[in-house]
Amino acid sequence: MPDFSPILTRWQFLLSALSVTIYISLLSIAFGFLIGIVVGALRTYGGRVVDSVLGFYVDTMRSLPQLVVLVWTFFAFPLIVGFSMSSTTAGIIGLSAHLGAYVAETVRAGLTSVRRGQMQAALALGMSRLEAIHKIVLPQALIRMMPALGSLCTYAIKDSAIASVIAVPELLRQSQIVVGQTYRYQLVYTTLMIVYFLICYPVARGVDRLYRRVAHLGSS
Amino acid sequence: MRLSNLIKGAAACGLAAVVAASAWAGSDVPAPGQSPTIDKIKERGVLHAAAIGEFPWLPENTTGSGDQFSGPAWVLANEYAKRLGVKLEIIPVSHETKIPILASGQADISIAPLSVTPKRLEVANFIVYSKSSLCFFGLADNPKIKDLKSVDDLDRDGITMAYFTGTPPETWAPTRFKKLTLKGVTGSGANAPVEEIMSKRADIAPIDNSAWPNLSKQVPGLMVFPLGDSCLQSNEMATDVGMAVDKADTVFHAWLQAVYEEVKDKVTAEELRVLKGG
Repeated sequence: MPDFSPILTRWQFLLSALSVTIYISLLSIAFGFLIGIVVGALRTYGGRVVDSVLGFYVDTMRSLPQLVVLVWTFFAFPLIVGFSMSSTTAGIIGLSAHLGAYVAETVRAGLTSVRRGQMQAALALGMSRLEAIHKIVLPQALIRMMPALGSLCTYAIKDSAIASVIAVPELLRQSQIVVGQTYRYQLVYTTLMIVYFLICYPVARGVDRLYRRVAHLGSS
Repeated sequence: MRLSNLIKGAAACGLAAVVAASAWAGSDVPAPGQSPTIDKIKERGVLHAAAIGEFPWLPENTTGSGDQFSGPAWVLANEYAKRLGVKLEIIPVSHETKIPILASGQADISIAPLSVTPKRLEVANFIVYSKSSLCFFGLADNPKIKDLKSVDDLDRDGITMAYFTGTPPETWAPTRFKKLTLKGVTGSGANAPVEEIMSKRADIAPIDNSAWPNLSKQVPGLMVFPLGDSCLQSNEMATDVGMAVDKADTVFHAWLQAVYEEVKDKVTAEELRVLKGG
């Protein structure tokens, strides 16, 4: 019978780490999606100048390793702006900024995938441009984006572990502390893997099932 | 005439001493305007302390209840916060960031246990409260090391030593060992890169002599250099251990040092308690 005491005697400590993982994942998904939707929509409908400016942000984020973005946000950014922030805040900002770029491209691809005729038909019926986007283009585009956005959600949860490098007390970092005290590498890291799987697998499957149900609504 | 001048001079000196003493008397908190760091801490009501747990100076409490840490560094940090009349707030750091964070202004003090090295003295001031030296451990059945007798014997081609990047062995080891291969790895939260040894990616790794008894108890099958109990008397990279503050504010550093001098018996007793508790 394996000895689970390193985990069982520290369950509160690890549970609190899990709550930090969920907290930074949810917030970075929320902010990342917000950034992505705004940037993606503006790149699609905002004209050439806006597209170029925001394209620079997207390409910059896609060119930088997430680890570098996090370390820069935690160490360099406070020196530039003149105020310090906690590692958790820096982690959320870094993860959101990075995720936002990928969401923006997904949103842009989703919006442009809806045939131009749909927009033209809406305008011909007397709808304003904003109304046409809101009522005709976006509902179809959102469904088409769903599988890609679902994948980005699971990436965001998994990538929250990268925040351990700037000492955010999330699941990976706190597991390392437990390993440091108990030297039970196999047990602790295997448990860690199972926990990440238990969080991410339902998200991936859930989005997939939802997409299958509503996929027909996205076709035009 | 001369006598009255002497009396006047003595009185002036006495007055000056009283004024200076009242302005800042050793462990009394320096008056506003003397230390920018203390003024900032008092204004925000929080002492920001960078920390990463390390046995026996700052072991992290993983039970999920009670204080986040224990050990001499924790006792001292709480004493500082108490005397300043502020709350102690922990800024978690890694081995790579436990000193650079002072320069970024995100922590007022780094209570992570730090070996005092010449390189570190260039960028930070230290409040020394303990001492440390290194031992080197590896798998007892590793054919490359099992028959060796001393630390000097380890310095040969074909032996790889793993160390955590950002820790003192990174700069010390190249001066001590000329032939063995050095391999820096990211800190795992443990006292030493045990996983590198267990997975046979490295043959030896340095560990603080005070942490070796605990490691040998928890992980069977290891051997240590200097051999056996001699590890506890090791003089390899013997250094002071302390907490660090930014070099710029010397008044803050002097006050921290003065407080330590006052409570050092309590700090030492805590270290012994942790060591006995293993």
